Order: sequence, then C-alpha cells, then structure tokens
Amino acid sequence: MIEIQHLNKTYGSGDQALHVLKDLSMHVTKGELVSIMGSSGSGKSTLLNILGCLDSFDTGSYRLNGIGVERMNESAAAKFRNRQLGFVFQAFNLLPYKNAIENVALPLYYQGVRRKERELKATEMLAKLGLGNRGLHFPNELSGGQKQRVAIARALITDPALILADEPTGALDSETTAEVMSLLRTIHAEGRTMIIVTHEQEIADETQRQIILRDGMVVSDQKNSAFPHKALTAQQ
Amino acid sequence: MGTFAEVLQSLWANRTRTLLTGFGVLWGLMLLVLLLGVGDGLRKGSARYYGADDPQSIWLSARTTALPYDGFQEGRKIVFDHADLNYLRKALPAIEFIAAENRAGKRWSRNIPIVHKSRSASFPVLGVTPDFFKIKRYLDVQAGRELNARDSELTRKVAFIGIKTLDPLFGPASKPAKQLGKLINVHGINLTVVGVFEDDGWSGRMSERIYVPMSVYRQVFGENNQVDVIAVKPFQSADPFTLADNIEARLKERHSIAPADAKAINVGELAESGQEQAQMQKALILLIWSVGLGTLAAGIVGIGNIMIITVSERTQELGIRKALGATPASLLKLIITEALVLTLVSGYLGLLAGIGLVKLLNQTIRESGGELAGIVNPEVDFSIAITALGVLAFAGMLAGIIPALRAARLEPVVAMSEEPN
Repeated sequence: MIEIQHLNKTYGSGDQALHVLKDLSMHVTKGELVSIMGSSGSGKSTLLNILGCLDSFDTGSYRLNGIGVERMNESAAAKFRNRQLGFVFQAFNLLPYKNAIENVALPLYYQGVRRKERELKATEMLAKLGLGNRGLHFPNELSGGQKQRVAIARALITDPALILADEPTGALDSETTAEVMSLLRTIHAEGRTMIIVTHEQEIADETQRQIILRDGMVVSDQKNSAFPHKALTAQQ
Repeated sequence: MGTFAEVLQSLWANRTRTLLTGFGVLWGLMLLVLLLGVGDGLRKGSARYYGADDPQSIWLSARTTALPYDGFQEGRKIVFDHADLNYLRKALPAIEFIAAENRAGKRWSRNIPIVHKSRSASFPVLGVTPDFFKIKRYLDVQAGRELNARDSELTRKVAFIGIKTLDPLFGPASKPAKQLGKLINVHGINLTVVGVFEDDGWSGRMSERIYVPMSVYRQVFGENNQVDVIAVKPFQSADPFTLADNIEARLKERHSIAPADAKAINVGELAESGQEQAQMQKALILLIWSVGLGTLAAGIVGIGNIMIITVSERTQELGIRKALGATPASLLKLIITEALVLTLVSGYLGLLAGIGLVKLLNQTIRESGGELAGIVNPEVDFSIAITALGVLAFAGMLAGIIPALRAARLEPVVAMSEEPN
C-alpha cells in the first residue's frame, strides 16, 4: 500500500540547511491502522505532508497504491489527493460559510460530480456518521466533536485509499476524543488504511502499529499487541 | 455553473466586503458616465456656437464704404456678384469651396410669407449655390436630402426647409419624413419639399430657414447677378486667416475700395471667433477626461486592493481547497470569476445609474430651455462607457491574478496553518 524507500528531505540550503527526514523507509500494508509518534522536530509533520502529497521530497521514492508520486506536477498531485487521500486535521479545517453538507461535498465538487448527486452522497455520509440532523448547520453551530465528524465525513466521501489524520483529537476534550477515536476505529474496521499522527500515547495505544520518529529517522516500529482485543464500539 | 455557484456563495459569505467593493465600482463608473455625458453636452454647447457651419469657414458680406478711394466718395454701397465668386475661385487655390447666399426681402420685411393649403407663415427664404451645403456642412438632415447642383442647373422648383417651419405650415407635431413631396407656395410659385433639416445655429433660429436653389431664387425674386453673402471653406491644409485677408484684399481691389477701409466688407471668420471657444472647450474636455480617467484609476486601485485582501484573507480556505483536490488552475478560476462577477455586475449597475443621471440631466436641460451652463443635449457615448467597464473588469481580473497565483503556489500545509477556524 505505502512503500517509502530511502526518503530524504532538507529544508533550506548551505549552513541553514535542516535535514528533516534522513533516509527514511517504511511500509504500510492495506487495511492497517498505524500511528506515527514523535516529539516536535522529529519530522512527523513533514512525513505526513509527504504522505499526503502536500509537500515534495529530495531523494528516495514514495509509492501509494502502486503509483509513484515523485514525478507529479501540482495539478496531478491535486487530482491524486482528491481521489486517493482523505485528510482529517487537528483544526478541522471546515469552510466557515458552507454548511455541513456542502463541506462534505466539496471534494466531489473537484471531481466534477453534479451538485444534486454530491449533496445526496454527502447527506448519506453524514447520516452514517450520526450527523443526519446536522446537515444544514454551519461549522460555528457545531460542537468540536461534530465538526471533526463532519471533517471525517469529508475525508471519506471520495472513498480514498488512505486516510491521513493529523492530531485528529488535539483540539478535543477527553470524552469527545474517545468518541472520535472510536469512530476512526470503526472506519478502519470497515477495511480502510489509516495513518494517525499524534503525540499522545493513549491515541497511539488504540492503533495496530506504532512508529516512533526521532530526528527524522524511525527509531521504533512495533505491533500493538493490545490492539485487536480492545472492544470496537461504533459511535452513533 | 459549478464555479459560478461557488463564487456566488463566497461573495455572499463576504457580503459586507462585496457590497463595499461593488459600490466603489458602481460609483466610479457612474461618475465616469456622468462626466462623459456632461463633456458631450459641453461639446455640443460649443458646437452650437458654430451652428452647422464649417469651423474654418469665412463669411463675407458687402456694406458701404467708409473712405473715399479711386475717385469714389465714401458711403458708396458695395454689391458682390457671381463674377466675384468665379474670380476668387480661380485666383486663390486655398479655396476648397465657395458659395453664394442671397436672402429674400428688403430690410424691414426679411421674412417671406409661405403658404401650404390653408396655412401660412412667414420665414426667411434663401437662395444658395450648390456648394453652400459643403460649407454649412453640419446640418442635421432629418428627412430627404440637401439641395444639389442638378437642382440649380435644371432650375428645379424645390425647397429644403428647416424643422421649425413644419408645425406652422403643416400643422402641429408634423413628422419631417411625412412632409417630403408636399408643395409650399412662395410668391405664387409652388416648390416641392425635398428635405427637412435641423440647424442648432443662432439658438435654433437657423432651423426657421427655407433654402431654394439660386436659379429658382432668381426666378422668384429677381436681383439679377447680385450676391449678398459669399461663403468660403478653405482647404484643411490652408490657413483660414491668410485666406480671409487675401479674399478681402482681392475684393477691395475689384470693387475699388480703399485698402484701409474697415467697413466696406464685413468678414466673419469662424476660425477667429471660435479660437478662444475651441481652446476653452479643449481645456474642459481635457479636464473631464483627466477626472474621468482618475476616477477609473481609483476604481482599478480599489478593486486591486480588495482582490489582494480577499486572497490573503482566504489563504486558509484556499489551502483547504488545495488539500481536498483543488488544482492551481481551479483556484485561479475561482478567484478570477469572483473578481469578474463583482466588477461586471456592479459596473453594469453603475453604467445604468450614470446613464439614468445623464438622461435626467438632459430632461432638466430640455425643460429649462435647451441649455444650462453651456451644456446642450448631453448624451453618453455608450461604447466608451462599455470600454471603461471592460478596462475595469480586466484590471480587477489582473489584480486578482497576482495574489491568486501566489495562493495557488502556496503549500497547502502552510496555508492551512494560518489560523484554526
């Protein structure tokens, strides 16, 4: 699913050069739920951006779903993101002047799906995530957990190969965090590949596999023995 | 359609800004249109000063001598004749056209009674030679045609009549085109109306005239070979002042008038009397254009400014859109369409408002007697107004492109991290 070989990324040049990712290699198989941990400066955000085709890299290779992304221009990368990737951000990143349905439907707009059809799909997706009665609400009328569920619906709407979540619970309280994590695990249980970047051990504990980065290198990559035994309860 | 809906939603989401920007554009174009209208009215107001005459034309009439000369006493009446015209035409190559104008009637009865069926009214009747209408060349022919050379040659009994003669002769609210072919009777001779004109000259009193071919005039009024007024149009390349001096000198020579006699020949030089007026008009038009272009420039700067703000305010949104799969091209399209929709819609409303104001001004001027502060019949040159709108829209687009390009190149991650929503 994800094959990263000898990835190098440097910001700046000369004396100012910052070598962020150092010969990093990693593989993720289809259907895995992986967490990437690391302190700030470990390179985890950069790795996430590269995984999300939001940033370029210097050397090495990155294949997602069998497609090499290193030679893509901006337009191709945009289309690739649109079709293959779903993002969940810490700050939700919903458009404030669009209601929940319109926010969820936005990726389909960039696929050229007709308005009626994309709003129908968005409504269905919201219902599936337990927000059936919030479709016409605007982001400022939703709680943090509801916003993040709208964002998750938006990430799922294009049926992407990979879900990338960047500190998905970073802005939420512990109760809501549990709800959102439960939801993410349900989605994973349906067969999706998901990578969660976090600095919280409790979040990482809920994933199948934990990768720890330090100074741009993988220092630990372990299966979470506790994972499959934890009860999955779908958040409705 | 998809982009359009997105654009409308975004404009609505920022409605205060949209409204203010739109109002700026509307105001700018409205002022521009109003200025153009006033400029047009001023131009027409000063054109009225010349009436329908060529602005370079020279008009000469014979008076009585003030000085004794060549054996003649002062107080001698001078009379021009057709030989003078032929002589001048041959002698002075700077003359493009030369024509004669005779006005019927004696000093105290200069208007001639005209009869059509049961109606009658008195108007000035003038006999003119064919080239006359190449000198009085800005007559507004409302129907039919001017008099031509064949009319004179064949002594056709035809008349070219001013628009102000219509109602008294043919009844109220007479349409110019309907009067063609009708007969009017002048001193017992029937003339066929072949054309109707409007002439702004003398505050419209020139439109009371009735022109007939010189040959017909002679049949009706006699007067042999006499010419009352000689009208001359110099070639565009010639200096009208030098030509006027030359003509005057030649005529004085032919009629034995003292070279220093300032009263024997009256020389009207439109170029001279028009010079000051023309300079004034030029200055006014220059002023209007600079104010108009200034307004337009202010509008352009305003739109540019707003577009830059729009884009930088929305960096985060654009970043989100990019992450969700918006290509740089689609972002450009979004922002440019937004700028275009905003400028075109508000600009169009501004055009309408401006045109409405000019129409209102026109109406007011008409009701107050046709002239106000030198402004006459102000109208808008629509193509200039549309061009201004186009320039504005193009500028708005251009102003949107630069920040939009920057936004399109921005890393989505950087853009999104601007601030959480």
